[in-house]
Amino acid sequence: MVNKFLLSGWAIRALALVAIAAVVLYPFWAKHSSNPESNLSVLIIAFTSAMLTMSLNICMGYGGLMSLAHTGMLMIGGYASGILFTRYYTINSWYTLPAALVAGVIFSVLIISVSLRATYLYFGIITLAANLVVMEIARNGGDFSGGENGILGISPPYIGDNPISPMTFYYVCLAILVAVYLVQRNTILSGFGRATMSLRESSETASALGVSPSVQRVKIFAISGGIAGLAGGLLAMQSTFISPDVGDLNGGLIFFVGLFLGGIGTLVGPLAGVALIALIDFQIRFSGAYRTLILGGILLLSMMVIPRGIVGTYRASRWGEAKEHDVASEDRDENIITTSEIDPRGEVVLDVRDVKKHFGGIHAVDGVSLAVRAGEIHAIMGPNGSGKSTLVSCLTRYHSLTSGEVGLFGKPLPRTPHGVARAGVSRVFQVPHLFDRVSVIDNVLTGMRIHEKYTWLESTLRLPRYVKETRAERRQARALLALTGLQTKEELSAANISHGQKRLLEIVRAVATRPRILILDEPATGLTQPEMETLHNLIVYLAGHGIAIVLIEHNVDFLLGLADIVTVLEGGRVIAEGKPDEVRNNPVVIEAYLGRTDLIEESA
Amino acid sequence: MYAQALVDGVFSGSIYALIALSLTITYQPTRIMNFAQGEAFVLGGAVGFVAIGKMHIPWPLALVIMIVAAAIMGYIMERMVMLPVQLSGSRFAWIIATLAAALIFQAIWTMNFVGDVLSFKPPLDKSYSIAGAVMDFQQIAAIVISLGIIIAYDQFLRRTLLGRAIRATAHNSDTATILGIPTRRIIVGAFMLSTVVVAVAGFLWVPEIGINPASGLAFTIQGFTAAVIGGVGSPRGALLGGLIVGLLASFADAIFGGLSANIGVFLALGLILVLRPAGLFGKPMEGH
Amino acid sequence: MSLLQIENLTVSYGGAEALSNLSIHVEEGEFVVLLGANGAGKTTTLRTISGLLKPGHGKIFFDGADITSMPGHKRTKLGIGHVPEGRQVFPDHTVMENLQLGSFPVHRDASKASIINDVFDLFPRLAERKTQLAGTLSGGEAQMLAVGRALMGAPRLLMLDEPSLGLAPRLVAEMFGYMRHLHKEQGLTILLVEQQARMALQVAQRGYVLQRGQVHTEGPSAALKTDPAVVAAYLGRTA
Repeated sequence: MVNKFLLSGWAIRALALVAIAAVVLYPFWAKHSSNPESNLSVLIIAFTSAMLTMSLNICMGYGGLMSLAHTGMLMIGGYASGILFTRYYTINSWYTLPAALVAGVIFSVLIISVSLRATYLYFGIITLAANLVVMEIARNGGDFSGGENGILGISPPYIGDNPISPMTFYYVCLAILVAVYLVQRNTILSGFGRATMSLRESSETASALGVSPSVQRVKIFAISGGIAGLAGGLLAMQSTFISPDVGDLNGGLIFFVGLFLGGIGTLVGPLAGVALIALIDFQIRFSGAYRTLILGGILLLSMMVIPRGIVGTYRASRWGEAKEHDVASEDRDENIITTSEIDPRGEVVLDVRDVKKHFGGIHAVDGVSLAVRAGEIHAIMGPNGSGKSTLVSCLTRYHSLTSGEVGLFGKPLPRTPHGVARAGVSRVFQVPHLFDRVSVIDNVLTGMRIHEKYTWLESTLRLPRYVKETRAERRQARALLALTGLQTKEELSAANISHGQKRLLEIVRAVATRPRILILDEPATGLTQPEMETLHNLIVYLAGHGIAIVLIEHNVDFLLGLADIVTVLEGGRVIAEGKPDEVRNNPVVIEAYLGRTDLIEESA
Repeated sequence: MYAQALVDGVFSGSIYALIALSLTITYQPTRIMNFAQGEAFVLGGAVGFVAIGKMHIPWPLALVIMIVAAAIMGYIMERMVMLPVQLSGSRFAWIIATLAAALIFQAIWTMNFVGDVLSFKPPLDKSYSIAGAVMDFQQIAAIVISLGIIIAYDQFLRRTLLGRAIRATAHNSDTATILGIPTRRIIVGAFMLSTVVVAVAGFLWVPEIGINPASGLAFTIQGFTAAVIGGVGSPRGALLGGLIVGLLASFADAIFGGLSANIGVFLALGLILVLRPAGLFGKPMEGH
Repeated sequence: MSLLQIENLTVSYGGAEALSNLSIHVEEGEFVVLLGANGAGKTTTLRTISGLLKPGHGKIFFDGADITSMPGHKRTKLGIGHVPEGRQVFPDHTVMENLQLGSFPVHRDASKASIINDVFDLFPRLAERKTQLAGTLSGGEAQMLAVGRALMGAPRLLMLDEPSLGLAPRLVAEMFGYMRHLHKEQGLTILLVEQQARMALQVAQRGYVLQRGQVHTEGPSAALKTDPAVVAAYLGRTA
């Protein structure tokens, strides 16, 4: 009984309110304490830690980018502030703050441009190396950087002839902390955030949804770096100095502990984690090497025992989990399948001319030509290794063509996977690429990213254009979910729906991109009979609205029951093409692929 | 001057190659790059420092003690890293766990050797003069031993069933298990062997150039860079990568001096990763 | 005493309960099939038997011995062979090397040699491609390799997880033919997980239908083939 109350939403909200009140009123208590400056300082430094942890959360937790350079970013922000403050007195001291932010952005953009092609492992190593190099530069920077001792004499910004009082600086830092939290929150809870999370899952999926992986990486890392730099600037002002040691990875351990303890990939996790670890750290901060041992031990233990962190574990538990609920039909926009331009039925939208794809000696696709028409269900059939998936990968630019040409809506095929997606070709992969950690409706909304017009700034500040577009999107997403009977499950985590529902959701997400061509790679795998009927009806519905469907399937009856035209591949070549009945009875096709299914029945 | 840079570069390169090899040994069955590897390097130096330098134990016995200590450290590291990785399910678990392990061990070293530079006298303190450069016996021994270990491991991988099983374990540890391959034993063995190899590397290096107890991470980075340049998962790549890093740093230091060595290596790393994301010998890295 | 006996097995996976109080048994020499939709727990069952997943409750007995806490690789030595879902051949190793990697549980070189010959007799196409990299094999060939590799461990119980997945209809028929051969001619005990319900019920003697981690229906194949609920859900126009 007590448990239920403690973990209920109300208790948590009450606790949060108390914590916020405590933080806001803290300076008044500190003023009357025995050591006001030191007490204020502790919390201010905790604020900067929280900012840094949130910045790590953004790039690692949501963006999937492992960064070991964040202590370096902290340091660079501090140096930018420090150098500006102590060397260029004539410039208003308040500019030191944006300077720190910009320094962080520049540093992170530098790192990421070098490592754009790196997989996430190499990326982590590069960030580690970058961190060490930048510390080295600071150490050896002579008079400019103050060498081993760094720069002294930094202080909070001035008003008039004096720096602002510690209490005022406390509130400045608190305000910035709140702002950073809001930036984190508004960035993540928006199309930009969903695009970032798609990147976390895989580059492939992100591209298929029209997100350019490189561009998204640069943006998210820059945002993360800017926040880290800003935190560094504030830290330097509070400590009144900056030195190369600030960049030390050892010091960075505490941020990782806070992040993992609180819950990586959650909005509130970093705050909760930092709050908790700050309390612990306060006790052990003078213990030298023992501090590292204790923090390291806590980190390893929390990874083993509460792998999702406090907030993450709560969310995944029975109390924190989202529930099914009904959605009123007025909240749906029935007019959803409006492709940007509807091609006249029968018009050739995808023209494949003698395409070849060779991998060394293997001729995976060896001269395939076919034409896909609007509103038509064009099936591609053939044994494994016949080139079906390779062909589709070539058409979506995951592979380059060895030779041949592809025309898309009469123009040459765009050069990049995300370019192809933006041109109106959506693909559902053979292997599920659903965003498991995200809700059902958010999966669908991610599909709509491709048509979103608002900028990051508009979404972060929640300006009218963002609000209007988002509202319209939600209504459209609900209608799409209703097409497949998933409408009551919109808030559920995508991991918690059945396999068949997951397959359908992935197709819905692809439809949300408002494609003119939809490629389905073995969508019926693992579906029960009733689910296959839903899928059948959905495909017919979509084709009826003018979308061209390319269907690859091994379930012969399902495929032949749907297709308008079938192309049969074997060994990378087209061996037959025609209407389903023609193909079914074609002896070449039977020999190569269908076999005589009566055989097994006979010998039973 | 260049002859000396060459000699020093080959020496340091062969040591970096050993570190890179040890990273490969752990990487192969687990797909994990162990950030804590360099801490075993410090172990090698520390055991030598205490056993030979302070307790005057003859070096063969000290070597044996060091190997045993390294094996134990390897086992402990395996638990510190693999338990969080298996229980956490986060894709970053291994980076965080190995980093935490590195910092924990680093703290242990700095606690016990406050202000010390770890160093001890080489078993044979002779030098030879070759083409204007001075070459110590220790350097020759290091190069020969390093080469021997790398060749031996390379042959083991290629020719034995167990060697092939190790690569298979990395590709799909579940499938390896159901085929009857003792994956847990292989992983523990890999951690222990790699730790011993790195400790030996430290043991070979320290009589030549003393080290700071906190320098584990720096050596790990050198080893990483070497492994990445040569291609992770390949002993030959480790050798080549190590030599490249060693020679590059050595010549950069000779010509430009100062921190150019580090930056030069970093730039080389960046360049190679941009041009050939899989390194010189490696296959493209698959994620977890 | 059954060769394989599972009692009240409960397994949690990813925070959800994948198997709830599952009990099934397989007698020596039998051919049993597990049917059910994706997510019903079929693959989870096989993986738990192989030791890849730990049950929260329940026991597993093989040939009378309690293997519930035995490490996975030791179970293979006891005689449990497993052909995993999706074939999972090692793409960077040759066909021959893949097969050799399956022979870990077998100690004597003479036995290894004789088993390899048996495998090549059964799958002549694999013999033709001995030195080919497994990653370049077609789906059907890779499936044969996966089965052959499992046979290299000299299993007494062979478990196969959806061997027909993704195969051309012609090859699916072939694969079922191989399984029937292994069962009838070589007396191998087989536990098969399949989506192709109709064909599976042709070759298997007995079956279980799993739903949400529990046994929903069980019985001889003949009975399942005519059970209206089973027909409606799994035996539609297709499989």
